[in-house]
Amino acid sequence: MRRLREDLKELDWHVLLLAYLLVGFGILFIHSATQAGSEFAGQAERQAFFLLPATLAAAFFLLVPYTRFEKYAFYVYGACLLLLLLLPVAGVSLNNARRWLSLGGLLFQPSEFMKLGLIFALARWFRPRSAPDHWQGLIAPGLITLVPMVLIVKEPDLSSALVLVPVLFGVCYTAGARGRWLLLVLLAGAILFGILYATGSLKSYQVDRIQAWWRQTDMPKEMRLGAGYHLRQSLIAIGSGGIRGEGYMRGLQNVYDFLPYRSTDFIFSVIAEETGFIGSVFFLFLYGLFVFLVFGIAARTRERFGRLLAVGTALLFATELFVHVAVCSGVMPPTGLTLPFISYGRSSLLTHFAALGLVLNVGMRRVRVLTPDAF
Amino acid sequence: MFEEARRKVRITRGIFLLFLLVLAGRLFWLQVLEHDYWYFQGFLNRERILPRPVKRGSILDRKGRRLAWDEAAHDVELVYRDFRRGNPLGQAYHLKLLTLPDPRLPRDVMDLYERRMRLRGRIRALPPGSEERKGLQEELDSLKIAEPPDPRPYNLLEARRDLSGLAEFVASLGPEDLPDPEAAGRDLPGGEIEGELSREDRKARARIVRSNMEWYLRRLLGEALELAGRSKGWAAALRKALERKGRGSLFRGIRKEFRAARERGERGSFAALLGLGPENLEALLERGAAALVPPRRRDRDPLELLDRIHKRNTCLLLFQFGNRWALWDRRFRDAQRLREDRRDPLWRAVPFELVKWVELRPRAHRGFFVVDSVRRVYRDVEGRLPAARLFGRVTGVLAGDEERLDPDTTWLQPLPGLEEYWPEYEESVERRARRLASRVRRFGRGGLEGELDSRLRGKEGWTFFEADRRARRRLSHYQGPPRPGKDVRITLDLELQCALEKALALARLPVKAAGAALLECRTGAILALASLPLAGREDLEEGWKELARLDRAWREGGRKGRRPVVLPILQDWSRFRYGSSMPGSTFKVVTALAAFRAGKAGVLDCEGILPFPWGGGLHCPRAHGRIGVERALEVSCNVYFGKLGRILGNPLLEKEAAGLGFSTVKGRKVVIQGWWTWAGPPWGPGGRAPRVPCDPPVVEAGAAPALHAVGYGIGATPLAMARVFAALATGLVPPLRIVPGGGGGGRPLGIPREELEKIREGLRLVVEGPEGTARRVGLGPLGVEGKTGTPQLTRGRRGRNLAWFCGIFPRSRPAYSIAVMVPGVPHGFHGGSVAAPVVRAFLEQPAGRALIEGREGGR
Repeated sequence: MRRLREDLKELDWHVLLLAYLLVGFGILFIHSATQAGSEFAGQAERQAFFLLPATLAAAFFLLVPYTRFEKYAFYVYGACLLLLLLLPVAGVSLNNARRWLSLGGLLFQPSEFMKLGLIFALARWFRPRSAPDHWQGLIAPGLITLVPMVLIVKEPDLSSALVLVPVLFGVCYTAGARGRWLLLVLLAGAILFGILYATGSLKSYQVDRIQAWWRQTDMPKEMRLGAGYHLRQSLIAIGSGGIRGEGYMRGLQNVYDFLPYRSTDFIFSVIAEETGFIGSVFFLFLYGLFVFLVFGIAARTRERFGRLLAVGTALLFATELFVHVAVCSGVMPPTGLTLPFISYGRSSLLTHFAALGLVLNVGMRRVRVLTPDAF
Repeated sequence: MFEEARRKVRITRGIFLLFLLVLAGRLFWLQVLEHDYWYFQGFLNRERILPRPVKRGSILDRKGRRLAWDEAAHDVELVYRDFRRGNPLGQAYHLKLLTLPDPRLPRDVMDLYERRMRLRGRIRALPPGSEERKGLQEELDSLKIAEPPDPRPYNLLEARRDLSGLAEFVASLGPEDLPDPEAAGRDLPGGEIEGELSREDRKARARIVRSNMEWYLRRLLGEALELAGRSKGWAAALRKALERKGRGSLFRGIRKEFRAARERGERGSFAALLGLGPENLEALLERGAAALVPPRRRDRDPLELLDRIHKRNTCLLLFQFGNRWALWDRRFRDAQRLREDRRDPLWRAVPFELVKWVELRPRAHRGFFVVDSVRRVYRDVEGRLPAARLFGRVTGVLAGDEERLDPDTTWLQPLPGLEEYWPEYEESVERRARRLASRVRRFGRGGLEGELDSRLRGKEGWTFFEADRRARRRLSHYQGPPRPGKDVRITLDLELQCALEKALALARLPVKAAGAALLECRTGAILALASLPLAGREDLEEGWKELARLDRAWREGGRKGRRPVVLPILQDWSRFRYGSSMPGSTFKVVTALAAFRAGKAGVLDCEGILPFPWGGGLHCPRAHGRIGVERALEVSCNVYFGKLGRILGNPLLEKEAAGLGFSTVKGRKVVIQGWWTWAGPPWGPGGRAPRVPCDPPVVEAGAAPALHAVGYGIGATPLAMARVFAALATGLVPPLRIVPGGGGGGRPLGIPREELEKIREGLRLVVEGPEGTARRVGLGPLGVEGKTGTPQLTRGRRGRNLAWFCGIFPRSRPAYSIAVMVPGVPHGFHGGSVAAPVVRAFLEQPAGRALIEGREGGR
C-alpha cells in the first residue's frame, strides 16, 4: 500500500486532468448536439453517468502494476478476438451493421475493446524480442493486427479497422523496425488501394463517398443529397462557425438537424460551428497537448513493454483525433469514426479510459531495468 | 537502445504535430478564408420561400353582379416518406409495392397483343382487297379478350392478409445481408416475385426491401403484440414465421420496441387497424381516410389497371377523398434518387369540403399536407356559363403544368392496341383525365381575363422563412402580404346576356349554331354577347386544351410574335366575335351610307339581273323597276345595290367601311366552312382602353365593287355589324367598350340626319313594309327596324346560307343595336325567317321589354 502511495506521487496529474477536461467538453457538446432530436435525447446524461464505470476501469488499469498485465496480454487479445468472432452469431444489427453485443440489455462494441487488446498483444510480442532487423520480423505483428482487422471490416466498420494500422506501424517503429520498411508497406497499401479503386472492386458507396470528397465544393445536386450529404453539411457547419463561432447551442446546422450523427461521428463539426476557429483550434491544442503528454510518457519510459503500451495508446488517440477532425473538415473522405472522450459512446469511453489508466500506470511506475530493451 | 527508442517516439510525436498543423491550417481555410461561402451555403440550406396565394379581382357586370371571382381553395401535397411511414395505407401500399411482380399486363394479354401486332404488320404489307388480306383481317378481328382482366383492388384488408407473407419474405432476405437477387426470388412465399424481373430490377428492389422492411416489421409486429389479446393468431403466426427463419433477434427487437411504445403510451397506426374488422374499415373510409379502392365496381382500374398499363417500375397511387380522386405517380427506379421528403403536388385548387378531413384529422392522414390556394369561379346559370367565351383562359396550364395534365402525355398514355381488346378502356382513361384536369385548371390569361389581367391579378404574397431538415418552419424572416387584385366592372349585363342566350336557344333554329351581339348605341358598350352552342364547362375544357397546344407551339417556336390569347377553336362557336362571316345584305346599309356621302343615292332601275363580265350576275327574285334607297332596302334589291357599288367603285366603298371600323386586307384568308378569318390581334379602340377580344371586320381587296356592295368579299362579326347599325342610329361611330369609360364618345359619321333617316325608313319598311324581308316576324310592333341578310355560301338546293338580321330599337329614339348571325342554314331559310325571330324572342322576354320601354337604365 505504501508502495502504491509512493507510485501515486509520480502520477501524471496533468494528463488525468486534461482527460477529464476533454470528457467534460465532450458532454457539453453532446448536450448541444442532441437538443433538437428527441431520438437522441439523454445522451449527455448517459455519457456523464457512464463516466463512473469508465473511471473505475481507468482506476483498475492504473492501480494494478502494468507489468502484471504482460502475462495476460495475449489472453486479453484472445478474449477480444473471441468477442469479435461472436458478432456474426450473436451480434445486434443496427443501421445495417452488426457491431454490437448485448449484455443484460446493454450494448457494447467489441471492436473498441480490440483496440486496447491489440496494443497489449503487440507490446507483449515485441517485449522479449530484439528489434526486428529484417522485414520478416513484421509478419507476426502484421498477422496479429490483420485478424481483428478482417473481423472488424466484416461488421462492417472500416474506419475502426483502419485505426489499427497506425497503431501497428507506430509500435513496430518504436520497437525498432526501420522506417523505410514501413514506408514501403504504406506505399504498397496505397498502390493496392489504387488498383482496387481503378478495377471497381470497392463497394459502390465507398466510391461515391470518395467522389463526393473529391468534388466537395462543386457537388452536383444528387451528390449533395446522396453520398456527399454528410460531408457537405459538416463543411457548412465548420465554415459557418467563422472566427468566433455561433455560440454554444446556437449552431444552426446543429439545431436545425442538418448535421447527421452529430453526437458521434461529427461532433467536432458541432464544436467548430459553435466555438469558431478560436474554439476549435483551442480544442485541437488541448487534445494535442493531451496526446503530446502521453507521447512524453512513452519517451520517458525505459521499460520496453511499458513504452510500447504508451506509444500504442498515444497513437490510438492521435489517429482517432486526426481521422475524426480530418473527416469532419473534408481532409479525408467521409468515414464514421468517433472522437475519444468527446463523442457519445459507452464502449469507446470505457476503452479509452482503460487506455488512459494504463498509460498513467506506465508513467508513474518507472520500472528500473538494467537491460531496458530487449536482450 | 533506449535513446534510439526515445528518438523514434519523438519523431512520431513530430509527425503527429505536423498533422495537427495541417488540421489547423484546414480549419483556418474553412472558417476564416471561406467563412462567407460556407455561411451562405448554410443559409441556402435553410431558407425557403413559399408563395401566398392572392385573390384575383372579380369581374362584375354593369350592375355589380359577380360574373367571375376567386374563392379560397386548397392544394393537397404528398410527402411520400411520411406517407409510407406514418399512414397505414401508405405502409401497406409500400410493402405491397416492394414485392409486386413486374407491373406489366398479364402474360396472356401480352401474348395476344404481340400476335396482333405481328398480324397487323403482315396485313399492311399486303395489297388492299386481296383475299389473303381479308383472311388475316378476320383472324385479327377474332383475337380479342372476351373479359377484361379482373380488377384486383388492393385494400387494407388485403394488406392485412399479405403481411404474414411479407414477414416471411423479409425473414428469408435476412436483415444482415443484401440478398442474392436469385435467392430473393426463389425464397418468396407463393413466388410473388416472378422470374421476369431483370437482374437490375431485382437488385434495386431487394435493396429497398432491405432498407425498409425490418423497420416496418419491427414496428408492425410490436403493435401486433400489443393487441395480442384480440389478435393472438396474428402475433403467433408472425412469431412462428420469424422463428422458423431463425430471426430471433428480430423478434426480440420487436418485443423491445413494443415495450418502449407501451411505456411511452403510444399506440401506433397499425395498432388501430390490426384488430379491426371490415365494418371498422368501412367506418374508416367514411371518415375520409385515403383508400386505394374505388367505391364503385365499374371504376374497375384505379390501381391495378393503371399500374399495369404504365411502364415498368412505376409506383402509382390513387387516393380517394370523399367522392374525388387524385393520382400520384413516381418512378420506382428513381425512388431512391429522389428526395422522399419533398412535397409532391397531388391536387390543386380543391374546396375545403374535400380536404377538411386532412385538416381536422392530420394523424389519420399522415403524409398529406394542405396548402392554401385559390380557384376561379364563374357564374353558372342553369347549367351554363353566361358569356363564358368572352372570358377566355388559362393560367395553370400556361404555367407549365400541361405536361402533367394533358391526357395525351405520359401518364395516361394508352398502351397501343389495348383499346381494341378493351372497348371501354379509352373512354375510361379519357374520363379520368378530364376529371383530373378539371381540378387543376385556372381560367384566365386568354380573352377578357387576359386583357384585364393587369388589373385583376393583384400581387402574390410570399413568406420567407428558415426551415430545418424536415422542412419544419423554424424562423420566419419576412412575409410579403398578398395584394388582392382589383374588381373590374364590365359593360355586360347578366340579365340581358341570359335573355339573349335564351333567345338563341328558344328560336327553333334549323341549325345548332348562332351568334348574337347587343350594343348600347350611344356609348358602344357591349351589353350581351351570345353564341350557340351555349357554353358549358365541357366546352371550356376543349378550349383549354386547344390553348395549351397553341401556347406550347408558341413557346417551342421561340416565342415569336404575340402570345396566343384568342382561342381559335372558338371560331366555330363564338360567333359573336370570332370568325368574320360575310354579312350579305346587311352590308347594304354601308353601301347606302357611302352613296349618300357621295351624293349618288338616287333612283336606279332594277331589271332583275346585273350581269358580270365573267358570266353570271347578281339576281333579284323579280325586276323591281325604278326604285330608291328606301325601297331597295325594303326588298333587299341586289341589282340596285350592285349598280350603286359600280357607280361608287371600290375606293369609296372601302373608305366608308374603314370609317365604320373595317380594314382592307390582302392577307391569307382562311376559309372555314364558308366563312373566313385573318389571324390578327384583338380588335377595339386600342390605346389605354381594354380591347375587345374580337376579330376585326375586313374588306377583301380586289373583289368586284358590285359584290362588295351586297356584302360579298366582306368579313364581319355580329359585333362589328352591331356597331355599324349603332352608328346609323346615332350618327356617331361608337367605340366598342367592354369596360365602362375610357376611349372617346364616338366619331361623327358625317352624314346629315335627314339622309340617315332615309336609310332608317328603309329599315322600318324591312320589318313593316308590304314586301319587307322581315315583315312576317312581327318586329314592327316591338319598335325594331333592321335589315336581313342571306349570303349564299354554296349554291343549289342543297346549298347552305348565312342568315343575318341587324337592327336598332326602340324606334322613337334608337338606343340599342343588335346583330344576329346564323351560319349554315339550309336552302329555303333566310335572314328574315331564321335570324330575325331571335331578335323577337329576345325582346319578348322581360329584360328585352325593359329595353324597349326605356325602363332599362344605362350604365
